Amino acid sequence: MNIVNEQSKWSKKTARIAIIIGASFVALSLITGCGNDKLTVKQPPAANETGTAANPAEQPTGSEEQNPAKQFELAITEVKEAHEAIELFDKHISKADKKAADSMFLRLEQFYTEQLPSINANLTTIMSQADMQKYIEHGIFNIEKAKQDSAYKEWLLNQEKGKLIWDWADDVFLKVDYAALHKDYANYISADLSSYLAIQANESAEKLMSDGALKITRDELAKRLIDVEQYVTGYPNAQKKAAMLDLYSQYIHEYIHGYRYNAIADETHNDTMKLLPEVKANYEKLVQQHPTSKTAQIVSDYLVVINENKDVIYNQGEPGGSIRGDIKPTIKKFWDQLDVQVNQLFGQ
Amino acid sequence: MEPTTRKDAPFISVQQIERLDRTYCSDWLSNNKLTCFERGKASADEYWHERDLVTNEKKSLGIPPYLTVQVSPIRQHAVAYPYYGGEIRLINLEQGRSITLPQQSRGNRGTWTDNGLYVTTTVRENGNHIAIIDAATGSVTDIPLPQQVQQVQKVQAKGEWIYVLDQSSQLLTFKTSAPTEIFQTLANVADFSLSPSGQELAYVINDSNTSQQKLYITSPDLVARNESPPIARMKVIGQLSWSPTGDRLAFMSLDLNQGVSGMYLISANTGSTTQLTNQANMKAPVVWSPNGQQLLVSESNEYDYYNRDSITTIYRLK
Repeated sequence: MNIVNEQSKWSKKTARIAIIIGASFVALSLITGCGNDKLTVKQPPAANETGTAANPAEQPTGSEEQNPAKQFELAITEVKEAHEAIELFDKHISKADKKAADSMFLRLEQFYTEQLPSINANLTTIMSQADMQKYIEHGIFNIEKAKQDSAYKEWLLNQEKGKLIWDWADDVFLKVDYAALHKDYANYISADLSSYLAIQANESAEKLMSDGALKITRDELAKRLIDVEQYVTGYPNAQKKAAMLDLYSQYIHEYIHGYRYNAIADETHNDTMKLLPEVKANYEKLVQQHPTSKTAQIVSDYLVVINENKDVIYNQGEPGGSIRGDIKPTIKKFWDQLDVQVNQLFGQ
Repeated sequence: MEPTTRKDAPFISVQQIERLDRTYCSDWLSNNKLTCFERGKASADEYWHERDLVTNEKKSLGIPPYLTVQVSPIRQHAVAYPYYGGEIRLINLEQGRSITLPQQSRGNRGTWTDNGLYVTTTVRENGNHIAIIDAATGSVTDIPLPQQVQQVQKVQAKGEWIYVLDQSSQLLTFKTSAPTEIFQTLANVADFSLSPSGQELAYVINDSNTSQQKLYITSPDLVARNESPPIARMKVIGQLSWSPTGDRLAFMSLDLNQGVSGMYLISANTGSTTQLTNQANMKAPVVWSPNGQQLLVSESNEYDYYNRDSITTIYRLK
């Protein structure tokens, strides 16, 4: 930052003003202004995740000075860049036992949650600068070319060092690279969090949806449902249970009725409004392969309703209107009650 | 670099930082109450509520989450509009009633004036207009934009003067009574903010030679002459926000060098500048509390469909 350190006439009152930003003063401000003792955090009570490291005061302590989790917890409050957080994490993780490593990982994940809004907002701002426009090709920002620009190279590469990965929605954005976290840290953390990382890495590598459309096969979605169920039921005190049940809810809604645009026999399939046979067969396969699972219980219940309706999901639409009419009442009731059934089965 | 603090410069620092997790707040209803909604996977559909910072109580405002809310300086009214443009609702906060105006918002954040007018850009069949909404009566005055104006990024008004920053980075000034007559034009402007009194104009200029931006503060009628030296130079400067009394200007700065980015505060009386935090979010508006003692910054990860958690941070000054 270049500071203009001179007296200037910049108000109508011709007040003479000295501008006083200095790097050392800035550093002092950071310490005094952002110290942990001044930070109060309020979370919506219902949204609190089991085992999250939201409140430093509730962290396991042990020997305060030697506990790597405590040291990491204190140090990360002064960090704003993801690559610095990872450097800190790497410094302390090898000295941590599983419990401390879990605590550190949860704090690192919280750091990402706190920082990603500004990281992505600032990335968008940087990409919109005039000297970055040359890297936009066919409306898409070419990150690889921008990374060769000496002015931006270090800044962009630092994002990747922070175990963030590029993705694309309406624009380029950064998200947590769970695959990298799993690869580097799975051995340090508990089986519970390692399994969680594996699920997130899978989701991160191939998203369920993109541009509002499903991107994975029905078989893959069924596998993910079972994986998440096994995580939630396999670890009675699962530290990421709430997050995984959120993901499960997304998956089960997509599996049961998210495929409606390519699962129903409409204008391209004789307008029967029936569930396509291959979709029904997939449901039956899941039940057959995982008969004791909670997911199979949900899908079995749905198959009963489907059979009651002779596979018809929608009524025919009105002439001159939509091809597809209302959802069959019992089908609709099942869809509407899906979250309730999930909550009952998983004890929420 | 050693600071060169003036002895008479008031000491501005942060007394306390309060963070509201999974919460997006847009404005202040009083010094202790905010307009917020909780935004997480589990509560994505929650409506805007009044959030009491002292008691932590919530009271629904009946405003759906796809709208954003801006409260008038005297806290009697609010305007709500969709982020991506559409209906504009004028809300009477005291009576708990709202009306939907016939004008369509372009989704830009508009500005309240201190006499209860809200100025924003609207979409009409014959192009973009400026709408001045009288909160007391609900009446709307439409002002067609001058032909020179490209798509509007930001608009502010004071008295009969309108200040418009358009997409081609022109800052244009004209009178409401004569919108075709441009009083002055300034090129290469990235952001601007008019002080509440209208006596000071803060603006940011893109310097193509250095690929940096410069922050200036000057009298609005001297803008075109641009004779003042800049207050600061950084890679990006934005979210300029004057305190209610106009004695302080807050802004966000982003630089590629570590530790320099953050939110800054300039005292208009002394010119002393303080970095309040090294956390910069160039897309997050900085919103002052009515008493000028607190700053609100709400952030949301709009980019990742599955991770749109929000965080609100309140900086209390001393």
